[in-house]
Amino acid sequence: MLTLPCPSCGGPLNFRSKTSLFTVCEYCRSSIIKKNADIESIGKMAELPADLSPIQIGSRGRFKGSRFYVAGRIIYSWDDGTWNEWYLLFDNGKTGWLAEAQGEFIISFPLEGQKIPPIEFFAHHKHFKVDSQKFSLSDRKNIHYIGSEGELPFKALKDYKSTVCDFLSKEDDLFLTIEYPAFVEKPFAYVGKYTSLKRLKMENIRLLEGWS
Amino acid sequence: MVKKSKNKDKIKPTLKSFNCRSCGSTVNIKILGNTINVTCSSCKAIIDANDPNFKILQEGTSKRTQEPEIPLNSRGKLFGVLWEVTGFLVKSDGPYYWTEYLLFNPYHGYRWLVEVDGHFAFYKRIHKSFAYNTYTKNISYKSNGYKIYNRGLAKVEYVEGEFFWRVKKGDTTEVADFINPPYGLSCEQKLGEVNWTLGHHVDQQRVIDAFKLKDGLLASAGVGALQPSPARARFQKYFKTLVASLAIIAIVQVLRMVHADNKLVHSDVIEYTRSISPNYKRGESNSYKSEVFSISGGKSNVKLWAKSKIRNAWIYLDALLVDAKTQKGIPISLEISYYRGYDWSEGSLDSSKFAYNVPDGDYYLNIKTRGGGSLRNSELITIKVYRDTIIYFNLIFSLVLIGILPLVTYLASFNFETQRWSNSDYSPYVHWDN
Repeated sequence: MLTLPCPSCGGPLNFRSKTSLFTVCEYCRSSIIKKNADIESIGKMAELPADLSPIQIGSRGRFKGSRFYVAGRIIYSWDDGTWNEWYLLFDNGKTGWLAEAQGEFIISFPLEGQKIPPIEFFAHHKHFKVDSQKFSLSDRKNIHYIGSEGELPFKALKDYKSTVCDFLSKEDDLFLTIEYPAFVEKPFAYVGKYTSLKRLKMENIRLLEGWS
Repeated sequence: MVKKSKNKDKIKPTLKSFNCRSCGSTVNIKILGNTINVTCSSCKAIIDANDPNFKILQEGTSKRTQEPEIPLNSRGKLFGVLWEVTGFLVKSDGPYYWTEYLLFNPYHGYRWLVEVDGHFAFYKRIHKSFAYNTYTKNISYKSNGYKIYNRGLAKVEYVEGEFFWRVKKGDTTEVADFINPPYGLSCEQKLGEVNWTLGHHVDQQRVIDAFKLKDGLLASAGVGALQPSPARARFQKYFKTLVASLAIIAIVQVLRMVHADNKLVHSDVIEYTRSISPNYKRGESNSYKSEVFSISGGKSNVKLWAKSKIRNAWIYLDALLVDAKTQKGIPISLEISYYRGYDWSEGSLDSSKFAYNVPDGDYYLNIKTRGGGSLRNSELITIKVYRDTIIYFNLIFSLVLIGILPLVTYLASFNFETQRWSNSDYSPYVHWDN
């Protein structure tokens, strides 16, 4: 783990992963960009809206035998709500995301080596094959960025907007999402599973008064 | 298990409070981050919780179409998890209506408790794509088959509480319910968005206990769509016993068939004579005494079989199987009777009778014959004596006996299912003529 002083307040900034390129100072809420060993403050991050999420930075869990650490979070918003994307650092060096929306959890990983069709494709097509698994388009929405905390593998931009296509398959809980950023050519695809805190054997989760 | 943080203090959940733009009362949002649709607790206006100005989506009518039997904000432990009632909906489809309670726990998410005519079911979301259209009659999930029970248009009649989706009075969704009691699969469709939920029946008493409902709940009516059938459970139990008994009986029977001696120990032809001459057969007065024959091979049954070609008459053989040594007789009497017309017949030309647990030894038969009907003056009767034969009567009797309970419970189960499906347009028990 790399610890550097915050260029704004001098507080410690922890970079648990070499792949982290962005963080928010937990003391002064400065947004920090990291380039190699250099760090630069690019302004203050607004206070994040309160929520009842049971996850927090520092929560730990397990997926398919590998332990992960919750290192960061992005909050996105769409017409009918907001959701959290928790950035996961695995002990084996892999990274992933834990999406939390409407009380449901999805763990997902970048889909590599697969040609992703342009967004226009899904205007007429409802299905998409990954390997031999057929996915069906279940939801499509325009999203924008609200805020972030902790480490992230990219710079979280205030004006970030994208269109997200979510897919389900015939296999229970299997999930695919393709994100088409508004100002970037390349789409991102993630595959994963619907899961639960219990199945992820989550530890160090938030203690909410009155709840168990 | 989920472990919670030890080193950090408990976080007190914050509320978002604002004044209702319709009536000015304070409105609280408890489930921050999820709730996007909230109603004013005072005027029941439906408010956009996501909007910075909390705009009114639909003005409230103070009139409640139905009081929630489980109060909003009350908590109850169901299936090991503490749930809070966060939303209440009344929905209708034509003359039918039902209520839905939205339950929440921050560690477990949302569930639905759906009440129809006092029958409760507990639903959770499932995440997969089904091969489904509006004609689908059967759906399979996790290798269980579900049958269509109801399909229609659900209309929202009343909204109260916090919701993570947009809902207001008058909204309609296409709904379809598939059942495999006590489980059910439900599909809700609106503007291309499809949501599937998997539910199971919950006993009313369990709901009352969980939410500590002092006044209980209104009595349930009829049979619920997902209500488990007690008769069916009993039938399945008895059916298992039946199958096991049949297997045992079959084995016993096969063993009997393999091992049965079925040995002919004596045969003869005797004569019935109408007793005109009292001194027939050297004065033995129409009675027959056989020669001594030996029975050996261990205690077993003995069968006396007799046949005579009579017509519209009967002959009774008053027979004793007599131990030659002790002169003790075992009764083994039988009757042959046979009647026939040109297109009917009754009785049989042969008949048999068993004596049981007959020990080895030397025996003879002592038979007195009597008769009636249109007998000739003399009739010949063939008699045969066997030892250790297979008795089919025992088999048939035990089959009938062990079949009674499964049959009775099957009929009760059938009756229960007919009632369950009486609220469905897809009843397999009703055949509609077009």
